[in-house]
Amino acid sequence: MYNYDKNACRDYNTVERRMRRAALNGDSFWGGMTRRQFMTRSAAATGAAAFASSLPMWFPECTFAAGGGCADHTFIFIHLFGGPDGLAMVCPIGDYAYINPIDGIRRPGSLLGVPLPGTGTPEDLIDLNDGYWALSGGLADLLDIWNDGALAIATGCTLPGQSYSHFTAERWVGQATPNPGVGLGGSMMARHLETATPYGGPIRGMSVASNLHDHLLGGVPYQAIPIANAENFGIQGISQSIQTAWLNAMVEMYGNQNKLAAWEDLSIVTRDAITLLNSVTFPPSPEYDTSYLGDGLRRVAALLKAGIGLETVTLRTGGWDTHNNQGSNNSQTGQMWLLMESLARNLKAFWQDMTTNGSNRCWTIYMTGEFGRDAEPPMTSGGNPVTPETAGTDHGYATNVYMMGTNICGGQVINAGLWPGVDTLHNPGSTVCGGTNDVCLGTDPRIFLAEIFDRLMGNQANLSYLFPDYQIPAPSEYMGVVC
Amino acid sequence: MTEKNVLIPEDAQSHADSAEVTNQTPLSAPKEQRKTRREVLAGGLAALVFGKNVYGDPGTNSAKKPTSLGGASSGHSGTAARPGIQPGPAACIVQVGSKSAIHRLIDKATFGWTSATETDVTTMGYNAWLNQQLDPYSWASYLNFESNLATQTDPTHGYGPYPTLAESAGGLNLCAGNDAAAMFAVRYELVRARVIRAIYSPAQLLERMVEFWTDHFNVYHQMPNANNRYKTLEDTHHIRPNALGKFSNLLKASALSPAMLLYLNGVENTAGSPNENHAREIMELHTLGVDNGYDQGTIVELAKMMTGWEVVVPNSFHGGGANCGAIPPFNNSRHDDNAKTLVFPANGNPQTYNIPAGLGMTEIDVVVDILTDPGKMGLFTAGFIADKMCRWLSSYSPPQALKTAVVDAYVANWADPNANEIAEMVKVILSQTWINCAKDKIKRPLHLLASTARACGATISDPGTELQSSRLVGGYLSVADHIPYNKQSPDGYPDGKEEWADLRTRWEAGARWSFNTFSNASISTFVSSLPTASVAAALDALDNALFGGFMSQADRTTITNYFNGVTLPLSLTARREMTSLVLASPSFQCY
Repeated sequence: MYNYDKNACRDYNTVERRMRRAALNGDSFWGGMTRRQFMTRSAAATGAAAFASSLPMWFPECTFAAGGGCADHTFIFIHLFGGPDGLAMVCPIGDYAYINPIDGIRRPGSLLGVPLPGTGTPEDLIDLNDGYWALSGGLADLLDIWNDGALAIATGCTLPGQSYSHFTAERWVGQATPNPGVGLGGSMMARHLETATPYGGPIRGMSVASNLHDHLLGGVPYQAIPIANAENFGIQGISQSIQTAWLNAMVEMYGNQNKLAAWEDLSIVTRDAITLLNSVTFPPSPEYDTSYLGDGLRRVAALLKAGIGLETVTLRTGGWDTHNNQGSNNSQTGQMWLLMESLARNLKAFWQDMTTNGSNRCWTIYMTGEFGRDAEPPMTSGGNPVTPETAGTDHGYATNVYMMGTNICGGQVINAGLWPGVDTLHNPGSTVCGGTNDVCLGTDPRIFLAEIFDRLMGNQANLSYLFPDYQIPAPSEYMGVVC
Repeated sequence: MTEKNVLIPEDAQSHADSAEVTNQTPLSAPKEQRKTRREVLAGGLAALVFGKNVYGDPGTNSAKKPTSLGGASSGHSGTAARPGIQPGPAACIVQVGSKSAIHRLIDKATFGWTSATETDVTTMGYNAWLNQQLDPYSWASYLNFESNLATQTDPTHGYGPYPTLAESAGGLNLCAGNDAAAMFAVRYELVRARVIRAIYSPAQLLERMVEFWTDHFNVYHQMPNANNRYKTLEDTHHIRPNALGKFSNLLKASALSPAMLLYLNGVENTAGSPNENHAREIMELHTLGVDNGYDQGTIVELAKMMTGWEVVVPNSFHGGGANCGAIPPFNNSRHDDNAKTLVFPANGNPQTYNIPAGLGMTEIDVVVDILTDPGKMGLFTAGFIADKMCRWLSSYSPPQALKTAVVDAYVANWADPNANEIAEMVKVILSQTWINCAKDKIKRPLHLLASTARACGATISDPGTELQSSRLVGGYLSVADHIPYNKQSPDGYPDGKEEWADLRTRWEAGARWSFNTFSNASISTFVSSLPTASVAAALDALDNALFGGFMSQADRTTITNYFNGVTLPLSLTARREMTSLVLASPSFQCY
């Protein structure tokens, strides 16, 4: 039914981990090259052969596609809906316009800030070893992935265009353009599926949901489907003895209707997915929690390991619209703290699941929200000083992008030199970012997506279609998020 | 930029006075320099239709002539037809052999066509039936249905009663029995009632509009630390009485609903510490539409105008405590009572409102007035909700002429305290003039569930909860992500076709009904009564009951071929199988 190499990328994780860690430690694993030189060389337009020839003899058990990526790389988009407070998640402790280095109080003036590293509370920020960026204690579980060199963080990221509407901004993220006038409709990932060479599996894209997320909507032909629970994807009520004929009748009827063009493809994918998922094993794993994200990532890991040829996945998890009771520094009751803990726990579980349980798949998680939040919470609430339990933040502009996976050049804030800062703090009186105390745009995240869809998803030829109204960078201009 | 002095509250309540407010000049200007409301509205309509400047060039105002309101030609002086826009009937041509106007009306005005409803409409007449549906509030059948729902177990089906539906607007019970179990019980009564009303209420059009406004003014039911009774009170006392009433009343009721104040952080929006959330969504989602005439500056100022509102028992989920009932809904000390300047960029035709200090709790009336008065920002609002309403009740791509006619209905009725502009807008869309513009839409999951139950005469003793996977809510609406009142984000459940394209859950719903695997809900009587003599006879019966004979020929052919060689007479299993194919067919997914 489908045809792809299940042996692709065998031992890739192990090898890649060793290479990346060696690079981060500055040793000579790279054959004398610096990491940057290695990346530049591998990114150069000399094709996969040249890249492969630069690798040790034992390396290419992992096969590379024409674009230089893994033959069966899976791209997983996690949308943190609501506008996650990037400043609370990855804090610029070296930015003295933002942080008071003496008491760590987030300026100006509120108590929403978090304790600096070494203050001695469970909520202490965790220095990411450069003295400038520190991780929220709520994300402590990400440290293992970071130290393993597989998690890259980019701060100050957003599409230009600036909407404070959740729904408009999320649609932009899905379309990878803030300009609806480009007339393409549909999502960037649907355009990718439309133009990329299929891996051959029956399910090319899936949203972990009952309905497709914005990020996979649209596109012709329509090859992504919603799968809320891959463990239970049958037709209750229809016995096995009639299932095949019954599903074929559905495909015939949905192929003959003219009410919704997409239904024809959807019915085929749905039928084949029902048959296929019935044969996949979904082992329990206590490392994940039982939240939407925990269950979802556990099932995605099982699907990746089963090697069903999945190309794109979306997950969407809400709760990040913290207008009140943000509590990003309260490990007991803070709603954002609890969200961060669950998020990091499940990402770590996924990482361990995929790297230590014998998987040989290649994958990238790309995680962000539709926008960030403003830096300053309300000074008072009803005339009373705010406390961390009651303070919230309003919609802002830029936020963070988190990229992790088998081929991510992690362990670094990838755009550290491009931190734009907080609007009025760095530019008194300025409103260049449109709103008071917003994080400005420092990096258009499409530069990361272009690199990933070029080098890992093998769709270099169609980048300008995936990212309309965006000047596609030359490979030499990529920021090196792909190793 | 032009400026306006906002009406003081007393004036704001006088539509006759406000009708003379100008858009371009202060009230102090000589009257001959001002435009009347009628002139402004007419200009606005023209702009809406033709994309012109809504508020015109101040220098040319005096040259404009008053134009007529209402009807397809409003917005134009004289009687010349609009270029490129045909009046209603010609815009939507009826194909030979397509559904009758009555059939289309039932498709759009109810949660599912049934032959009994068609008989009703035919007997009463199209307009009489529609008028009854548009004004259900004094209709005995509806009142009896609602009363019974709250007070007794239904003698036919066995559902109910749901007593919390009848609680008073004052929420006397808010302070009692607020432990977790009681709160869940309150929530589940409302969810169960949502399903039952969609299927069995005689006021079907009201139910369709309650669903529309519930999504439009979405409030997530499961907010932490919120009293679940607030959502019930909102549904009972804020949404339902206004769902076919005056939009300005509905907007104000929603804005001050405790459920909304908690959900969009209105209770945290206080003097000196504004919270923008509610102000943003009231413009983006409830009135003007996203990025339509306002900007971040407008949001900041509007948020200040909306400060000071509180909720009686915000945390009574954990017990009412000593403060239960003691906190007034409006607290002037938390209200920003300073003068404010509210600026709407209004897509290049800025409007400025100078809000005087000291308005106190009447400032919310000014907010509602500015956002709904067609002479202020209300034309933006009318355009936004007319478009959404046409999509809801007619088609995914309603013709511009229809949308314009619906805006006209809003404008013509907004200022009249005795006219219900929402009912008038709905009436235009569903009128015989425009009903043929109705096109196939995809049923959302609740609609699919209700239409199955209605067409097949289902017996339902309990729709259940999302925790009961054997019942309708847990077994279908939950897996299809359409649990009533459960959309977490404020945009409500979408009304698009791609968003509801999950075929597996649709197929499974048909299979579960047909093979009787839902508990407390059954269509077995219907399935058992299907003819057994031939495949064609059984299929005809299904076609007549579910589609009034309009099942697609392609679907009929596939199902007929599926049963090629089947043993006759048809077994019950074969009839269940046939029913499952029909309920899961593309024909039945649309209305």
